[in-house]
Amino acid sequence: MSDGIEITVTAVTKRGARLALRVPAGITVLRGEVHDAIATSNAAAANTSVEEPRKGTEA
Amino acid sequence: MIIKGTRFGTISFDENRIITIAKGLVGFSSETRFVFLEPPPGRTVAWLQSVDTPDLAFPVLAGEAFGANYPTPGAVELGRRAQLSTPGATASNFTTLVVVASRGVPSQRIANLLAPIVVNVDTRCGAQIVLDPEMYSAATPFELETPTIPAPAPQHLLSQVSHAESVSP
Repeated sequence: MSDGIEITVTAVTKRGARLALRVPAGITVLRGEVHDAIATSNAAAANTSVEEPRKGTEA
Repeated sequence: MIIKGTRFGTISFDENRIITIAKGLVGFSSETRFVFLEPPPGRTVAWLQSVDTPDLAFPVLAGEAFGANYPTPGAVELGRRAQLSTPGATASNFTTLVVVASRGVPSQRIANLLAPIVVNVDTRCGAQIVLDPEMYSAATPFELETPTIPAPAPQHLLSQVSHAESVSP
């Protein structure tokens, strides 16, 4: 795959396949649900009004 | 530089105060340049204002506000993992910011303890780093007034992370 990411099938059983993932240093691999939880939290923050500073006068 | 946004009005700042988060935030990968807006007097929440999207800003608290053991592992190790380290870097070379939000009715404050933003204050480079999902949540409820979660130290952040030089209407 791109960016030096390698996926290897290490075993195949009746229940499914076992995969090994090799990624270069500095690349983070997230489970889908973890990624989605963080993205949702970031999006909520971007739209939040937590302790809003007074516009145009403070920052 | 000048940012004209809907949230804070006009913000002017030196380019050398920009914090670069090369990979962006999770879900916001194209947002890589921010300025740190310190909390106004009497308030505790600071903001990471996008340089390139004026209407986008993320409220943040200092990681210290969530306890002496947060984050685990510490900022030096997280900086190393994110390739933010410089030779001889110690904890004083990093600061940790936690993205916070409010949600629901009545409003509940939540903190994304799962993915703090670690900034090397010398290089002004940062990254949103994902911690152990078994230890931390992306939506941890908290109260600003709770004594066990003290306000961040604005002066500490101010001295180490960039902030807006001035704001005018």
